[in-house]
Amino acid sequence: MTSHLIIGLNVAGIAAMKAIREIEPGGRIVAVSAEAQLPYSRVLLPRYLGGKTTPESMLLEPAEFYEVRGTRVFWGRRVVSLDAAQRRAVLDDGETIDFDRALIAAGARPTVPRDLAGPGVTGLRTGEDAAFIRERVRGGARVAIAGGGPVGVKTACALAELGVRPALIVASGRILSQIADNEAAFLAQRCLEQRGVEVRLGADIVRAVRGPGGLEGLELGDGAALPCGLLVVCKGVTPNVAGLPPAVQGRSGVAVDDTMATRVPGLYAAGDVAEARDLLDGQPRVTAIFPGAAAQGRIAGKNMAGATAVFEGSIPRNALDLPGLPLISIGRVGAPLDARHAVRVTRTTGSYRKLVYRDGLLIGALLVGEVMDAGLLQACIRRNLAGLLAAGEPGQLMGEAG
Amino acid sequence: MPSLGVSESACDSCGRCLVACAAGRVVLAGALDSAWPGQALLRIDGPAPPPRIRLCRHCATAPCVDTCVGRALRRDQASDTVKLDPSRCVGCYSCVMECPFGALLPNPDGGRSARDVPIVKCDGCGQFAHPLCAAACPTGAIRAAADGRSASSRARRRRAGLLGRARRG
Amino acid sequence: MEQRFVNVDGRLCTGCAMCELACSYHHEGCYSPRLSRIRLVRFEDRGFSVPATCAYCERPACEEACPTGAFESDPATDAARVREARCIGCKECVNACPLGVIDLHPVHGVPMRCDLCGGDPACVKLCPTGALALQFVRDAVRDKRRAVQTARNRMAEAAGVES
Repeated sequence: MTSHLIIGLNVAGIAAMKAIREIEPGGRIVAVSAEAQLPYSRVLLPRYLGGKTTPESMLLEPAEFYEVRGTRVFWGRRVVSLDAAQRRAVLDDGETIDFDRALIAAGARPTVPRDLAGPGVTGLRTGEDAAFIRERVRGGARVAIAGGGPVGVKTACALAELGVRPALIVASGRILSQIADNEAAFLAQRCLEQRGVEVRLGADIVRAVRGPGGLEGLELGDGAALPCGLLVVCKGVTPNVAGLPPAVQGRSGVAVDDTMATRVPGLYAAGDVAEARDLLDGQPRVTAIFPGAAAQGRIAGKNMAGATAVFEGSIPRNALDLPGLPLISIGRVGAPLDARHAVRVTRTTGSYRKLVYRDGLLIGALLVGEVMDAGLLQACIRRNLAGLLAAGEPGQLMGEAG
Repeated sequence: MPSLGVSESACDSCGRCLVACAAGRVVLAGALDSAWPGQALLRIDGPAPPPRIRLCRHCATAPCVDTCVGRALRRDQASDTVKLDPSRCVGCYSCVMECPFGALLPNPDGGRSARDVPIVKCDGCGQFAHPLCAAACPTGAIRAAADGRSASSRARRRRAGLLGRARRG
Repeated sequence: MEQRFVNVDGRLCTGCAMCELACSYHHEGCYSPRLSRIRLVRFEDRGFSVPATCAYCERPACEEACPTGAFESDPATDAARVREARCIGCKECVNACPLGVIDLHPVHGVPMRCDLCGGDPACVKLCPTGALALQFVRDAVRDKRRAVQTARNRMAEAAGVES
């Protein structure tokens, strides 16, 4: 019987495990999980930080899920080298695992600029990170958050609800610059400020000022000093590719085809480490979103178990649950001012809706306040983008939503 | 599980399905004095023709289950339905973003009142013998069959029977 | 390219179910009517059976009902295909088809719809009585017109009227 190795056990790894079990009940699956505790939903970490959820309700699967005949999980271990030719993986404690097919679902880690890294600076990616932040906050540290993306905004919101009045330091001219336009960003920012978040736009962090007690403050680009005892960096993620054969590596993560197979036969990749197709422009890219990881993991698992499945591509999308102000952004939400693009905006009390068309086809939607139609719009956008791509006319990526 | 067949063009947005569904909730909750259509687990956007029937189709590879960050949405193999566990739902709206039928309904008050949950959806009427909305629908816009297969086998049989009659005639 | 489909002549069907077995073996590698794209409808009380399969409608209700655009046409043969990557298993196509010839695959949860076996249908090859034929729509219509005309002529002859 084929033996499967799953490197990294979170959304993608678990989805693959389910798919393999469905096709090969009782099949041999070995999984290596870097964390010792049961896999949990990382998206819920800001909520955990805000004290709104418990570790138990964050678990992706109950403990019994991993205790099935044929499945073995190495908890709290890492794969340090992967020999594609010998089909052998070496763990950090020297143990070796032989496999026939392997899934690389090692995920990603927060990108922390080198000149900032040090004591008092952390990302928010693991339960340990969250525990560290909570401990510092309890100790009365003033908190700054770098990065105005969805994770930064959610983290700021969660901390504000703890009553700590965090500062959100955003490099660009508005928050959520990748997923929202000026108006939506303004609504979101007002919502944050009402909760007690101090938003600093167009601010670069030049230097972290450290004293004997650890982090003491930040020096911003305009010369201002921002005293703080903790900096949470939410400026995207870097795929974990250490120890992987150079042949599988792409630009930043692991290059995969439509079946989630890497360039090395027998090796697959899924989730935040995989450079799968982005439907917006047809290019391979790491799109670190939860539903993408689940779909990619399932497809990789099916292919590993001998079935055929293809991944059509994901569209950039984000749902943000600001208190009382849901915000959903799908596809391209900014458009250049030209003859091919058109934008339709509807405003009502407490809601804002923007639809972006290209040649009469819906390619993006931004909903604030009233979001019930988001799924219908996404289905439409997905069909249109796939159609444009098939017709050899992919959309372009936006730098910043206009 | 009864598979729900929806044909929006047949709907005249009479709202009987909403009342039946809300009544079902009330019966289950044991509070018979408080039924109002807003409690229903489906919604009709109408009457603009055709009205949109926001009702869960209990997909086999449901996008909402894939995206649920709190694992509140799960496929229940035994009943062949997609189930929402309100105690795990954190109200992140990810499922709202994924469902192509718009069948996940954000609660009007944003889940702020303690009794309510952020998202509601069709539970498949597992406690009842037959989905209540389909039983109440007078136009056949919502139909229920014992499972997806029997919906098609019924259609096949009806059509083939017509062929047979035409030949004898 | 003009659309072809598997045309059914119910008068010739004996109910042997070879078509179901041929189809399931061709597509799934096993003999199971449940996995067949062509399904035999039996009326035991009337001693009558007829196979039902995709009629390749001009405006397919299944395709119009699909929220994700999972149906596509094979550019070479115009046969229907299911993009499994897009299918979410919502059963809209099953419920929309007025002929009842789409079922969900019991394991994979994706619709099973006649794909003409890439242009050479297994059911047609194995049908022992010729009740199934792969035809262009225009030929099927022509044959029906002829059959009706022949029947009319026969009736006219019996009534002693010049047609």
